Amino acid sequence: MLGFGAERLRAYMNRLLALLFHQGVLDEQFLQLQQLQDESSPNFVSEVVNIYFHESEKLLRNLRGLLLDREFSDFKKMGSHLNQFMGSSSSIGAQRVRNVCVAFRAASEQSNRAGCMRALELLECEYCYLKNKLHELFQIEQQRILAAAVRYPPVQHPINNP
Amino acid sequence: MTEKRQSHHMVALRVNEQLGTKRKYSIIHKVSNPRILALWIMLMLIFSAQIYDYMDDEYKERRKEVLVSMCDQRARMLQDQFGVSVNHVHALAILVSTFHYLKNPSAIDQETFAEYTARTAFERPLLSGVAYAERVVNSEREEFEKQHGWTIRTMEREPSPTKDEYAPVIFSQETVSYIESLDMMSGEEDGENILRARITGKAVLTSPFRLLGSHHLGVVLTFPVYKSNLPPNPTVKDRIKSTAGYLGGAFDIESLVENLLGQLAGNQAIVVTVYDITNYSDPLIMYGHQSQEGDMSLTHVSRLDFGDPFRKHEMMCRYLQKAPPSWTALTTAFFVFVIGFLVGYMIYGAAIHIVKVEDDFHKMQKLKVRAEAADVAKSQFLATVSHEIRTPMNGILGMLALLLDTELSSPQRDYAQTAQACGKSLITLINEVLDRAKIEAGKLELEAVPFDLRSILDDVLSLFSEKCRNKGIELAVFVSDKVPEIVIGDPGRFRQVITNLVGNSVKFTERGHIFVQVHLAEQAKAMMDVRTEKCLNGVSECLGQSSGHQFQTLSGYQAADDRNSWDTFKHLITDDDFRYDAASKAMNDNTHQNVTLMLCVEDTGIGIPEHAQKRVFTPFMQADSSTSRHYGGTGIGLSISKCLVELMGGHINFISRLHVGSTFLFTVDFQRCEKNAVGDLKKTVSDDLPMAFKGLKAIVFDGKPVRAAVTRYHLNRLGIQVEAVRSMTAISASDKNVSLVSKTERLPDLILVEKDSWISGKDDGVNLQLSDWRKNGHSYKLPKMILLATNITSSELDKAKAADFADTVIMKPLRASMVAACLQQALGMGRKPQHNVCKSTFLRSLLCSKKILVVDDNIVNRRVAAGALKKFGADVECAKSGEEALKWLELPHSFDACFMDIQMPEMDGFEATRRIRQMESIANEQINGGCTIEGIARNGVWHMPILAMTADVIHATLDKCLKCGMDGYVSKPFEEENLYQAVAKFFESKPVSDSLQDSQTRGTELF
Repeated sequence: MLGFGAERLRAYMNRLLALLFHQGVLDEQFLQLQQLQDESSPNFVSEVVNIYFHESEKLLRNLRGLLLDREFSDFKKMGSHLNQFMGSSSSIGAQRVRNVCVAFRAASEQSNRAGCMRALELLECEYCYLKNKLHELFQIEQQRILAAAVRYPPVQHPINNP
Repeated sequence: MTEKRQSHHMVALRVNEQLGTKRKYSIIHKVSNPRILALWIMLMLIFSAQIYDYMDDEYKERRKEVLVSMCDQRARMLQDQFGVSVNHVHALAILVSTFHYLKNPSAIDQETFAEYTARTAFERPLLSGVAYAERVVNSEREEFEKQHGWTIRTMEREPSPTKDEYAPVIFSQETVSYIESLDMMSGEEDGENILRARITGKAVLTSPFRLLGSHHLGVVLTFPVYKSNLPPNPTVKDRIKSTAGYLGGAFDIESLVENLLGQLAGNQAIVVTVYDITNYSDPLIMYGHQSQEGDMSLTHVSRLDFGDPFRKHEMMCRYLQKAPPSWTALTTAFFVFVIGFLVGYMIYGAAIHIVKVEDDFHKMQKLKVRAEAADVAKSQFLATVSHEIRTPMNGILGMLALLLDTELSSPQRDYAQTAQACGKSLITLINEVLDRAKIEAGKLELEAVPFDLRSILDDVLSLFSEKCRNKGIELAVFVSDKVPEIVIGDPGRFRQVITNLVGNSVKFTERGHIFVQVHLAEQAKAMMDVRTEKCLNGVSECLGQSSGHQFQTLSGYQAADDRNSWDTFKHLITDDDFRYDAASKAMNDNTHQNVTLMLCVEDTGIGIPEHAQKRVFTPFMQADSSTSRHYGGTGIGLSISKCLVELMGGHINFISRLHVGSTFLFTVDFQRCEKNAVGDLKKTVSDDLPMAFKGLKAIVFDGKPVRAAVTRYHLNRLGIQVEAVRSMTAISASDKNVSLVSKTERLPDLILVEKDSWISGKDDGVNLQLSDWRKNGHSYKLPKMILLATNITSSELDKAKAADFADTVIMKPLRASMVAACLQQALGMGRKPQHNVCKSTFLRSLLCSKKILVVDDNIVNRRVAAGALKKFGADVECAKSGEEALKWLELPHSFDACFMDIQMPEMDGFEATRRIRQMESIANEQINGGCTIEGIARNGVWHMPILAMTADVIHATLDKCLKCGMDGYVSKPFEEENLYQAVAKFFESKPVSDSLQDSQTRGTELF
């Protein structure tokens, strides 16, 4: 019976992940990413994802800035931003964000400003959703680790996090 | 709350807008209506007045005409009668002259005259009497008086004074006998008359005066009587000279005209007045009153000619009564007005009604909009609240889970577990309500992403496989070949519907099967139609089929929808090649077309009672309340499914028979994926099925064709050719005769046997067959025997192992990936996980302690790539641009390999590679073959492997990579297999096992 909570949380996490997969928010790459996490790099996923958030927010800010600029014409710059965004999104497996980026890039290649605006809004929306969900996921994971810690009081690496 | 208010505000705004636009089209303005009515009434009044005027004028005209004609008629008659009387008096005059003067002695005396005149009085209706007066000169007076015996008297009955001449009356009609012996000359009128008569020799008239006897108004007519010797053209003197006497008659005009008018009296009384207008300025009344009685407005004057040119007379007529008002005109006008008024009022009423209806309409519209808004608000509220509830619920559940982890006494644990179970069902319910609310609020948007339908169905099946296996229900899925592999739609929602339907089926089914089928809608529909027709035409056939104890369904149990049995199914999977041609043609015509799929979930459960069938799709309605007690659930799932199906452009219905089962059918619209995109997408969207089985041959033994078809479908997906055989004896018999097992013929690689068929005890055939094959020298590669089973007891399993099914038992429900795994095991191909483990260890061995440079401008990518490589023990350095990479790689360096991103700002991967290669060639020239520095300098030459990292895996990119000096590429994001393939080329230093080599080449091939 011991370890039940951790198992629950794991199940819940898996459900959440499965949901995200079904919604197409995430793809296999995220699993790949999780596989890269091991004892040597215990926080790899969250580290990478946090970098991703940081970068993405910067990129989103830039994109918005570019688009809001009145005499805006630098679609090329926008394209490079989008390439970055796309690359990093596909690296962490954020499939839907990536898809929106593709659409966005298509719009920017056609110099379709209205389309870009729409795509940007969609992108921000998707990004927010992804961010929320991933945060939730990490929170659960932390809880899980916590639960695991509760389960085995004499742990080799005690976690001081209350 | 503010949000709520805001939304309400928005709704209100919308309402106003709508009303604003709607108001405009109201043609009839409410306010102006009474005015228009009043105007109309005025108009009608004027109109009817005009009609009255017109009719009245006509009436007056007619009245006048009548008066004219009446007046003229009277005048003519009076004149005629007067004329007749005058003529008779003339005749009398001639009589007197003839018999009194020409006869000597006179033939006439007073008596004769009186008698004669009395007897001829009818001839002179207008004359009251006639008399004859002789002309007596003064000289002859005495002689005359003597002769007659009386003296001449004046009108005043006195003896006449002496005058030049006298005109005493000698003969008189009896009616006027009182004037005998009176001197006519003494009367003013008469005297004058006599003088005028003898001068003209014609009848003359006096002006009207009161007659002597009657005191009636009258005129006296006087005729001169001449002696016979009057010359032919007499002068006045001659006439006076030869005058013998005068015949006079009194016209009692008053009574006579009255008499005459009495004869003519018609329906309309008129007033007639006769005037003597000899002296025009002072007309004298001959008849009638001067008084102004009668209708003075309308008079008519007719001329009268009584034969005396000196005297002029006229007759004036007028109506006695004033013209009565014209009733016809009046009534006509009145009716016209009334009709007009009524018409106006009706229109007014209609207008008022229209206005009222319009008002009501607006009101209703307002209410409708409000109701809709309320509905939306309700749904929004539900969605929000559900969401708000969900969050704390998650907390509760989490805490309960934590609580359960602590040490609890058993009742405590029981309570906590109950609480958790309740909480879980509550959250499921909330989720469902939220879904429904979302759908109703129109907030649920469907995605359009490519997905693999078959793998989703497999997933759903895997969800329920455990439950089904426990219950002993057969669960199977079949997807028609014509259904495209990748479709574009919302996989999540599609999955939800399928899961719900299958979940229901599983819940309510205790025996038999649950069968999910997917076909193209048009294809399925056509076949169903054919089948239904057949059924209608040949009822006996259908009945015969269904009355058999074994039904041709998946499990042999009867299904609710008879059409859905093997007969139809057979057609669906085999006999429609021509249809398929047509379909594919259509597909070519328009590649991005919609594809409508028909899904069918058939079960042999408890069925839905007829009275409950209507409300199956109503939320929170289950077949009956006992159902929920038995089976649990809220009954919202189906209504959500219905909403979802309708959102996806399809519709859902079902056929159900109590205690037989239910079949839910629904259609969904998906989009076809573009052909060229399918290949790429397939990789990402569907879980890759191993292709290692391509070309294998299999025989499936199954007594039930439907089940065999399902098995065949799954094996076909793996690329295995399948032959289905009804029974083993059949095949062994045929094998013996036909040269299926001749030495040249290839044996089947697999033999799959359904457990039912095997249990039924006909397995000898197979054994025989196998031994046969062994004998015939096929022993080097005997087919693998595989048993398919829904559930199997351990004793059965042992038995199976004892028989030739040592190889594998595949547990149903079948799923392509599961079948693949089992087959891999059976065929000894090694399973994928093992594969991966091998590979990652191998990768580890390859990359361990290698120094690798990762060049990527994208920090996330860089981090991931570094992480991936580090995992395999590599020592990783990162560079964030081409320039930085160049710095790192300045010779001499200690890197073993470099992973280079292609798309980088400023200096892209190609350029960086070119520079590196440049540097290397310079260094190589300098060294000139010498190998002084440790590194990857093969044959003493600097050449560092550079691998491109790219997201697009097109061949053109690869070529370009190779052209500019790269050694290979890995696709981004990193995949182990891919990485392994790329890296394996360069780090071959360590021994590689055969199997791995094998798999590597196969992998390459596949790629």
